[in-house]
Amino acid sequence: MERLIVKLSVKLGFGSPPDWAILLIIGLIAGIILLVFILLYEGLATYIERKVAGDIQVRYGPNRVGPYGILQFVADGLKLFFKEDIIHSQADRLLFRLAPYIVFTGSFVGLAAIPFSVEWYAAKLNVGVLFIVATTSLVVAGLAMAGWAQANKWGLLGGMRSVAQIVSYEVTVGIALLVPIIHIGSLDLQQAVLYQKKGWGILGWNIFHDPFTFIAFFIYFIAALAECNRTPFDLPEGESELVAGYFTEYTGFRFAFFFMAEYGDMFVVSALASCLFLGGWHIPFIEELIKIPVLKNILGSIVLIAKVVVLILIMMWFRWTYPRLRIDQLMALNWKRLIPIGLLMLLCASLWDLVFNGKRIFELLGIIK
Amino acid sequence: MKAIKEIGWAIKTLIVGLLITAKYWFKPGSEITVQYPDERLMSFPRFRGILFNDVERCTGCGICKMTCPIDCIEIESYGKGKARRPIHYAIRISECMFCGLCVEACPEECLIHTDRYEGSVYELKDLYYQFVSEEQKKRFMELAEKGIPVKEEKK
Repeated sequence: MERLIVKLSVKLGFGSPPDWAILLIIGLIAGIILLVFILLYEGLATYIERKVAGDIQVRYGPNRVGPYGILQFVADGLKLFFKEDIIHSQADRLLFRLAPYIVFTGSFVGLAAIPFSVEWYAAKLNVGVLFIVATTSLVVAGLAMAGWAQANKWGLLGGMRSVAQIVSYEVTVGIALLVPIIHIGSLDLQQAVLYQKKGWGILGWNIFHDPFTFIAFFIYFIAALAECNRTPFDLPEGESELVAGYFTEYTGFRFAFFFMAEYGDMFVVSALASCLFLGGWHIPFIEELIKIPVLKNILGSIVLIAKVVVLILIMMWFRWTYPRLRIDQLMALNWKRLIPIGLLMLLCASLWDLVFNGKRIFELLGIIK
Repeated sequence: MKAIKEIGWAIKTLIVGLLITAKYWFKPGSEITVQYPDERLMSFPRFRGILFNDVERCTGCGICKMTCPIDCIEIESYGKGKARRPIHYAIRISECMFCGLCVEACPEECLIHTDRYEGSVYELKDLYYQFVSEEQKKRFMELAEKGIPVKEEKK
């Protein structure tokens, strides 16, 4: 990649480029690829969400635009793009304009740390997990800004709720993520995936490492749902109480940004779960047989995305099954149940590491070597 | 101990809920939505749809106009006695509230409710339903002058 850029630069007559320019160009290319990918994914995710909703509620869902309504998201995107952008007179204009970008950036930047395959990743971060946890928390700032800036009681309440919720559940997410990290011994996501190579690509997964990581996965998943503001934790945008919560006054493309941020968050959170708990890009059973590196990369990213899609489908399934929690139930669930259990799991996992020298439960049982 | 029991119960009930929705999710052809412009439901019998007057049988008595609580029926009769005919019969359907009093009152049972329920149009004047065409008006005036009663003309 770097050699290609140097060659191109010399050919075009710019001479040999400095190091920072190479870094910038590679970063831009990676960013554009990820942006295109995430936009396409978000469009399809909204379509699939509506289809799942339709199937569960015994109706069709979108079926007018294109075959099976698959172009519905294009039509929706165009509609949002051409809609009038209203900023009402009482709003804090600067914060109002800034908030959607911060929310979207917070959900999008997390993708940089996710390894899609052995060689395909945007940034080699040795603190990838920390980076993703930090960027998903950045969303809170944007949501609070959006809630405050629109000078609307629903917006303000939604913003406050989302801050209270995400800040509390951030603690749970952190604790739940520490459980596999104790076994891996690194915050690097690539390392985490490589650690799970044993056992035909399935039994080596961290979720099957010991009973405590198994429970930690579910704790992480519940907390992650709350972090994405998904049902049953979608109080910040509970339409029966708050109209639309923190984006009540937003229209047109600014509204779309919030929408995309929600789906982007879902992707990042699910990708983190698949990398840390579900074996990341490891191809089950046939990984050893594939010799061509490019094919390995492509299949690896397909496997990772498939895992992410399954998790997202489960999130959608939850959304159309469960009613919303009350705000005190939400807080009680976090502080009285998830965090104590998480801490217990952390303690037990540390002891497991100490007693069994970091061996997996299937290794102890003699199923894998 | 109580907390552990509670968690167990919570997990059990959550799974039950998920299985119920999953049953509908993966059941093919369970959609009960009627795809409206492509397929239409028939209205049930005795449905009070848009009014229609079979003016060939109408005697122009004007009882419908009298019973109408909101005066949306216009009728103009011509001729005397049994040979009386309507030469102008119109319903401003935009004002009609489909109470059905006119249909009940009609002695000839020529004013009826159809099963039509799609009344949307682009202009208000399209909601002024006229039932007597110009030809019919001419014919009815001739018949009325000749003194032929409505029922005998049919034979």
